[in-house]
Amino acid sequence: MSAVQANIRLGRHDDIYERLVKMHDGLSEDDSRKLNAKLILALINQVGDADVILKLFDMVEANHSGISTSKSNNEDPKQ
Amino acid sequence: MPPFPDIPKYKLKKPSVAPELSGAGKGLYPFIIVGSGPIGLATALDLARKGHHVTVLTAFDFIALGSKAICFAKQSLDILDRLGIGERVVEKGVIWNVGKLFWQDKPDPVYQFDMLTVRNQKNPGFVNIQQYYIEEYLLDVLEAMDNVDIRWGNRVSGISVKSDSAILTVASKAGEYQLEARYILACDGSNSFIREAMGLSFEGRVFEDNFLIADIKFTGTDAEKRPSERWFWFDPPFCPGGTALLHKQPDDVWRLDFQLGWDIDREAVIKPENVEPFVRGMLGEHVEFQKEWYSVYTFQCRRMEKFVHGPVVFVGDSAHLVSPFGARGANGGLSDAENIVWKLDKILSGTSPKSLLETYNHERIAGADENILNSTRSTDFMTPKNAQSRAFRDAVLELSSEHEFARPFINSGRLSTPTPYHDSPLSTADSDNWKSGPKPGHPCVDAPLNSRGKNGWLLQQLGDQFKLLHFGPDAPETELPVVQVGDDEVAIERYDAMDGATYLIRPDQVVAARWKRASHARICEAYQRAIGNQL
Repeated sequence: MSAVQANIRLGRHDDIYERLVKMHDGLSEDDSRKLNAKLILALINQVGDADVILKLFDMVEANHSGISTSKSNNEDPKQ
Repeated sequence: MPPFPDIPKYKLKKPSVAPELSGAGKGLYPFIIVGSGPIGLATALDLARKGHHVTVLTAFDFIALGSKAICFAKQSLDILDRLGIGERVVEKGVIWNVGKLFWQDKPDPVYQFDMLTVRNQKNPGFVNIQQYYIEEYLLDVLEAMDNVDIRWGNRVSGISVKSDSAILTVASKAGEYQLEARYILACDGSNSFIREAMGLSFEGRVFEDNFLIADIKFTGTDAEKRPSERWFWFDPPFCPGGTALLHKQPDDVWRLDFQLGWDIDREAVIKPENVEPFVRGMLGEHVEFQKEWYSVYTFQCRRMEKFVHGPVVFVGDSAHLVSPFGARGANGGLSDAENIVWKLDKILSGTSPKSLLETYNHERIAGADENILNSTRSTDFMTPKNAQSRAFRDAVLELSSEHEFARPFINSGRLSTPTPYHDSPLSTADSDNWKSGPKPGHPCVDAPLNSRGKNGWLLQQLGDQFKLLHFGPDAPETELPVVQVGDDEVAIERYDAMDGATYLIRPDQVVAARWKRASHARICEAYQRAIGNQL
């Protein structure tokens, strides 16, 4: 069974990031959301391994909920 | 009232009285440099070191105090070495290689990076030093030279361009006069008078944002305790929604930079009572400091369509402007300067045709475009312009604290590295098989050289003239000066020279051609191409 690759696997990050952001120029919020959904679905197929995809979802979900929790904690005034 | 009352002064200079005002003067001057910033002075010094008579015109009669450019990249230090002030700059400057990125109120960096990926080179990845020190050091050398005439307080007020020369009208306290020169080097900065007087366009993009620079001097006892690292914040509590940057300079001075947004009162924000909360927010409530220089800036990414206009050549900020993130302004300008100077030298000495000048357009426009592309991307990452780009930016930062794969997307400035001239007409394409080493059009890599009685560095040996860099025992027959490398392992590896190799190196230390087995004929042909005789 394949493992999730969390290391850096490609180059040209700035080229990719620029294109990714530019795709959304001029789109409404709904259209942006739908465009992202399409991108995710296309990338899922490109990865081509359901086990890996499901593990990847777990990994990102853990990061997302972890950050959200720590964020709400941070809203408490300190000192 | 003295001129420029608003500009704080580091060192005053005596206004010059031009010989033309008393009927003397030289008639046709070879080179006039307009502007006394680091780029104008570096251009002047490089030309003067090659034996040319150089006249510098500057509206100022002082070196300005503002720190302005502070980050000098390795390739600039190499250039300043060739101009004879590199070691003084490194000695005075603050060496740094590590950058740390912070997000919101998290005390640990989400990411940190090392700028000097190749060790064992003479110069460090970066040195921070106030711009006025660079200007002062360049002037110390220039003012001792007989073939240099620096005219303080002499402001260009008009230009008339002919086919083979240009005539400048110059205003000074002692009167107005005219000067004619074969070449005018317009190093007069972003608001270039020469560019505007010639009606030349300066196309690009304006970024609607204001940034506050607070250069402060630590006065407390813990002044020296902070490490010399570049610290960058996204959305910190002391500058919500914006970015902030902290950088160390010599003399306990620190550069603090805060993104303020578009709708601000530009005069109010630089009042000390308004700057103070930002400083304390970043460095702590009890930090003891005094003001060195406060300034608010906006930025633009622009460039001229061409940098060469007959006898007038634009160098540095007058030709192209970038956002400051990435330290690509002064560093890009110094690369311009050394690219244009050797070409002018070859043209004036009759070695090269005038068309060689066009290759400055070709090569340095590529440099400017790379700098503009990188600094635009950095700016877009730092200041997302809509909800979706903010979501991507924040997603990258959130993932980065846990996952390595997201980190290369973080962009807080892609720091200046030399631009390779991929398709320069001066390069001779490879005809042998190479595994590595600098390709034609690429800058030379430094390495320690200790064999054959040398004690020092490869770049130092190459100097600022055309050279043949030969690895192995039998140097090929050539009229060019040869730097011969023996069994210096690091150099051999960096130049892919295990079985011998010969590189033809330009005066700006760019590879013009290379061979596994060179011959006199091949070297001659590549040299003729490199000096523009096959354009």
